[in-house]
Amino acid sequence: MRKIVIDPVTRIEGHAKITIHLAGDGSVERTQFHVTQVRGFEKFTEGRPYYEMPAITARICGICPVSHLLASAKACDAIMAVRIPPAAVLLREAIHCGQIAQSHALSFFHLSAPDLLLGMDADPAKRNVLGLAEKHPEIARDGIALRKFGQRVIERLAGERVHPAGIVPGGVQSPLDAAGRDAILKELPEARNIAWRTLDLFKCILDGFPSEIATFGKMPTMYAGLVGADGNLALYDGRIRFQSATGAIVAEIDSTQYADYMGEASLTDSYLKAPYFKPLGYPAGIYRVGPLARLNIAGCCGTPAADVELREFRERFGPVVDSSFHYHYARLIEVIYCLERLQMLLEMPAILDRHVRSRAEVNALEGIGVAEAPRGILIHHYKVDERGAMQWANLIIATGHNNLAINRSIEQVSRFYVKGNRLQEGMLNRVSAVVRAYDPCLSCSTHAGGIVPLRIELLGPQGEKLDEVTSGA
Amino acid sequence: MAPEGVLIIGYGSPLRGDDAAGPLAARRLAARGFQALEAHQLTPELAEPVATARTVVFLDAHAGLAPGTVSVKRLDAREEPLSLLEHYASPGGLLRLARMAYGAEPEAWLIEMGGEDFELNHRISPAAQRAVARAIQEVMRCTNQELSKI
Repeated sequence: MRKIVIDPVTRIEGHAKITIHLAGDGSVERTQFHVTQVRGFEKFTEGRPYYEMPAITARICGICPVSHLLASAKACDAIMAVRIPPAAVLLREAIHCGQIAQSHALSFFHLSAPDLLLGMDADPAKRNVLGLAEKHPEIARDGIALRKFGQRVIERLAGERVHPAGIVPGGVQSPLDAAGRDAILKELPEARNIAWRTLDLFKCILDGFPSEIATFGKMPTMYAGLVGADGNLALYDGRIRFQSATGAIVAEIDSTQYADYMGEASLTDSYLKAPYFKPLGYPAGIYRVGPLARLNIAGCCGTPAADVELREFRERFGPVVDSSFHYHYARLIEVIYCLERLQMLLEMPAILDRHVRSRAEVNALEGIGVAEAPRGILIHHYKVDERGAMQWANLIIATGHNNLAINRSIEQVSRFYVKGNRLQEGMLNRVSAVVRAYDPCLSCSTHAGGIVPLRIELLGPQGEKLDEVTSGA
Repeated sequence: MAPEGVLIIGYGSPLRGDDAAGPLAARRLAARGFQALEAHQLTPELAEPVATARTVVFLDAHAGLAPGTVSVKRLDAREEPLSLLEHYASPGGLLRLARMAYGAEPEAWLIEMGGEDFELNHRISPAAQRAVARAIQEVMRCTNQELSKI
């Protein structure tokens, strides 16, 4: 059997490789997505005081530390058995909106726009954000400005742009004053204009990708995500909804019941576990999370402009949108939602309340915190002793939920694009691009990207090299 | 008095001992009136303030330099090797992005400071402190040279 290895997959967060096994006739027999790094946070936090967990686990990720802060702080709230002040709830959600906007901007402008705007077959030396800036400087400027806006929201509300300390067990560290609120509100209209401009642009280029739409993980799977009490999109808090491939609600559970419905399979050739819907077993219980899943399961977004866009999205692709290529589209709709929701939150007078933190000792020996990270449901589950020392932790990172779906998507794309003994960079770029559509966050605590060398070898049955493509180095 | 149009960007991790030399130098220059930014690492959105500056000075710790010494390099966006900008950006990559996205070509310098301890801690070694002091001297020299051209 011959094998193609894409190592590393580029323009994703973290380190992964893809193996494509070829049959004798050059067709794709099977594929495998390998995550090649281990984090170990679940183990090495044992023994630490529970109240350190938000600060420690925020270091899991440099892109979405706020999500870890939120899920961790919520798990700590449960251990303290406190109800946090209303202003703290509003501030936490506002910070979250800023983070999702900046993370989605990073995914679209910096990681995927080079494929979408320069072309999947463009010169790989220029298929990056610098190439994008050269050809479309106005779009590069928009990307920089939108990400900067989201980071400034985090900085203003939580102290720092990366790894802020503002979200703590029992609430948030500091109240918001009117000047801080007004500063964000002043910048919001321009951020919203950028979001609309970008979505309009994306709609215009979408028809140029019919094959990608048809093969980038276009498949029936379940979807999972948080919904509010009204059944609408909820990013900070809600119940976990599981929906079938045809749109039927299969289960809707309190987040504390997650372990009854989510199993985690260990894979022999990847450090990333593969969660599945327990009632259907592994691997039949495959489901997708993240922007596409959230828009599929939600009744509506709950903000005016995002709902207009969601209606158009469904009119165009159906009530359940099943191609993972449309993660990009869903992500841009969510940016609009986050900016609208941020404005709503900031205009609530209660957000300026000075009481923002509840204090308590250990009142429960177990706590579960769940939030929607940019990439999907994030679960932190802790057990502590009477003194509050961590005894056990289980973290289910958003990207993990999509592991099975990413694997299937890679196989679908590979079967369509990869054929024969002659490698073309563009076809292998599509194999990487389907991974990028999910915007996986694999490294978490590792940020180094830089010049990423890519070497793809096509090996014969006896291991002889048939072809090789290299870039970077 | 700090020269106008000069942007200082000091970057490095405050959790990695001498790697914090860049932000520390930036903080000290801010106290002298410079427009100075501190960052864990360079990110693409810094291209915007880079593009509005007349002169940019990047300050970074360097494990490969002799402890306590500094290295001063003049940067030119056109001559810098192509560097990707994903989660990590090089000074040259930022300059290229500023040129391509904003049409700006500020004068730019990279001043690197030799450290000796990059393990997990919050301390700056005496050698790195010396390098920070020398780097500040170099910033004053570089920016005064730029001013003298006006």
